[in-house]
Amino acid sequence: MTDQSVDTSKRWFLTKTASVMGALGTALAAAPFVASLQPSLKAQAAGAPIEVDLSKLESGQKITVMWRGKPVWVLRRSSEALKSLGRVEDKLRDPGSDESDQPPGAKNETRSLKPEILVALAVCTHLGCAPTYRPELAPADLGPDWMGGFFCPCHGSRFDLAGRVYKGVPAPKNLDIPPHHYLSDTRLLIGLNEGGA
Amino acid sequence: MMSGEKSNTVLAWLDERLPVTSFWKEHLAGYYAPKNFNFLYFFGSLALLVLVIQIVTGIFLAMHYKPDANLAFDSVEYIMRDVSWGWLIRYMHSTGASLFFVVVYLHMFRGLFYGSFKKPRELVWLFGMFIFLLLMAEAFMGYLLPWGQMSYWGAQVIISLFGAIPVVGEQLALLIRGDYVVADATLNRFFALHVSAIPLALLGLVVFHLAALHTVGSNNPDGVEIKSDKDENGIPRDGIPLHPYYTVKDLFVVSVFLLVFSFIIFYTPEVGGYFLEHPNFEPANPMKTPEHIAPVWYFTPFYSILRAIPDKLGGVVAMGASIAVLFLLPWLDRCPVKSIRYRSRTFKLSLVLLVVAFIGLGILGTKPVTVTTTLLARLFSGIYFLFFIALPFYSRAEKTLPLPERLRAPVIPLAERHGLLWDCIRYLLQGVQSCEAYRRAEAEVSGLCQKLKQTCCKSKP
Amino acid sequence: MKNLIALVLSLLISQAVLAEGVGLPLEDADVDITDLESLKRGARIYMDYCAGCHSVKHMRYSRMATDLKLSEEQLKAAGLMPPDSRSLDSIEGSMNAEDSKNWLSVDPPDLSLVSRARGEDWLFSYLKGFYVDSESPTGSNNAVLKNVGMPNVLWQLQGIQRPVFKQIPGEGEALDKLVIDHPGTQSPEQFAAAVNDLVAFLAYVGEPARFDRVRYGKFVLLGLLALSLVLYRLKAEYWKKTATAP
Repeated sequence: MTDQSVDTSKRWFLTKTASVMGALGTALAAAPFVASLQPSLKAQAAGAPIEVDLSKLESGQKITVMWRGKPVWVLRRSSEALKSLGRVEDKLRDPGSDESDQPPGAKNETRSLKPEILVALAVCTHLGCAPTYRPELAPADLGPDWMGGFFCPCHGSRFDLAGRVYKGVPAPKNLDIPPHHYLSDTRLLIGLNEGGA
Repeated sequence: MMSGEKSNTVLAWLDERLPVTSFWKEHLAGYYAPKNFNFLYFFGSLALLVLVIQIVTGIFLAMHYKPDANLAFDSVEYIMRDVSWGWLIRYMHSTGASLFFVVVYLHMFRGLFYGSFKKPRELVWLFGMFIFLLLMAEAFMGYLLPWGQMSYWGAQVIISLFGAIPVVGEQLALLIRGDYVVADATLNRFFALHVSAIPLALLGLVVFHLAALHTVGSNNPDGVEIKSDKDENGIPRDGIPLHPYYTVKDLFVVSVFLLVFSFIIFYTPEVGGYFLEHPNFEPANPMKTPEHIAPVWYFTPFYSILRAIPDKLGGVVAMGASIAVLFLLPWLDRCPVKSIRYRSRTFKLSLVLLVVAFIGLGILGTKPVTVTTTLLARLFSGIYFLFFIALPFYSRAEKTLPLPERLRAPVIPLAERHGLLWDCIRYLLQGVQSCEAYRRAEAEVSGLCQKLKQTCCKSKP
Repeated sequence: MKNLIALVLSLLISQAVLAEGVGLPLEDADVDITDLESLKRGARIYMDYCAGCHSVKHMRYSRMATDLKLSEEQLKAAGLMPPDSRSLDSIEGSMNAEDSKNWLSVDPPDLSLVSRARGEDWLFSYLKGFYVDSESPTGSNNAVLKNVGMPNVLWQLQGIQRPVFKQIPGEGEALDKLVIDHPGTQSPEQFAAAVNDLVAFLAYVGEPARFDRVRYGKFVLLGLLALSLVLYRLKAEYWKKTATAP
């Protein structure tokens, strides 16, 4: 018994098996801990989709609602504002919204499901400041070319009235359009696209 | 080959800056432990494992818990229901707390059993006792955090004990609570201590406990110093490197421990109201005392001693003394022989009585007070203290057995044991083995094992 | 405030009485939370008879829908979820605290954890243990929790029970048993089954994680068992040579 030499291949096999099982077990044990970092049901409940009534929203008027703790603008654009969108296109970084986040139905010039209603996250894509709504034409501080849009006071990023970012400003992409869809003509649900997702 | 060389240079780079290799040699691959450790020797490493589990789960719980009297109770339920897998993390922590004490009590019993507290390991024992003391504080403060009825009233009762101390008592109790009753301020400070101060101190003490142990070397079931018998290379003849021998053994034990741990977590996390007490599922209510306040099971032996004394100050003193005597153990026991294997019948009997008394006190502490339980608690408290009082007197001139030259088996086989007790057990076992039913069962089991072996091992090449 | 003290006192007294063995012994509930049909029936009884005053605020409709294997629409159709509530809402009582203080003089407790605090047998016996008592402000009393502030909301199903007292020498009167005076819409067996369903639902609400526990537990244990076997073989392999020494 005593001089039975060490069976290295068996020992190697057992060591490897134990190591693999141990590593797998540790990974499986770690998974719940990582999962516990996700937003809890309470956070999800607080971040549930919200309904917005559009019947009192007038042309040119903007309201801000909170969704998942972030401000969301709902803006009814005038026809002049919509016309201006076409005229600034050559000054924009991503006019086709190819690199931006929006629901599939809003990847268009107006970046909206209904042309006049813009629903956008009021969070600058640069460093998360809140841009201001500047609908006036050619104000003193923004220069004569300003056709109305959003201006971020933190680092001077500029967006047009569809939340598309201008060239030559720090913000890398257009304002995010959150998932949303219309429950009826005047009722908007923010947080959920048509048919889930 | 390439990777091997690379890792060697990395190691060399590290070694110049950090004692990696020397640490490995000194404390793992080159640390010689006695080769006859038995199962009582696993509870040290298991305690370390539980400490790690408690710290990791504790950190994740602290991310969701709110130390505020108005929010605490609900935040625990929030963890149980709204946080993904929060229930698992919480049950790991609550079960870990109880198992910590199971493991530590067995670890301490091992020390008593084989005389591991004796010269030259007095400091190992003392550091261990401080760890135990801090562990009790940690558990007590942690138990307030769920802010249930038992949390609240348990804390109320225990903190009031400090009020029994003459002169400064009431002031001290006030200082601990930070309010006139257990309140938001108490919860807040207990949280701070529970998650930072005490765990840090615990970790530090564990380092000291291990450093002291590795300086003097481990004791063993025979209580013979392996360092006194070295071979020509200076290696103890009865020693074996901690790594890989005891690391693989410990890994197996860890796995078995996790099996038990998981069984409790997944199938019976309340353990019949002992690990999680039923009244603690009701939010703390300062207007309504639960009809029966019982501390969690691991405090009940000491709680019983407290209740056994019909005087407030006396009870507190007795409870304090019951823990304090443990600190003095290395100096109370004057017998030069360490292991119970070679000690007198008097000591063996006293130890049995001590264990019976301790468990008895533990059981009584969970029960409401009646005349009988008070009487029993007094009897057991008496036995408990008598053990420590009598020890210095008889241990000096104990009739011990001769110590062996070399280490014996981890567990002495039954056939080699002497004494009336073992004769009786042998006789009984023979009786059992000779009966028909046992033989049939044995045949059945061995047949089954044979079948298992054939099906499992034949498939392998 | 006075009421609360009165309640505390009455609770203390009732417990003292219980301790002396004068109350009725608890009956055994036969709860099986894996029986989803039983849970659904229990949930329906809860919504019909309990939800008016009590809340289970730690429970969300979405969780109930998942565990009972019902969609949100089915939940609403089955009367288990108010039509105007959202799936992540928690299950609140419909009465506000102010009203309940005025009408019942106590705040009906949240029932999320009542099954874990009191136990299933207690709930079962308590819900079956109401009897007429002309001296009580609610007109009824309870064999398990004496002078309880809650009226017997299930009386239409159960009927009305009358207490029968017995004389214990030296101690006076004690409750012996409850007999049904006016039968309700259900037979005693049907009523016991209904209460059992309700207790099952409350037991589920007490710890919805129980489903997860039991589901994952067996895999964890099997995995650890396999790991233990491999580690045992590994240990045996290393210790083969040393095992035979001294």
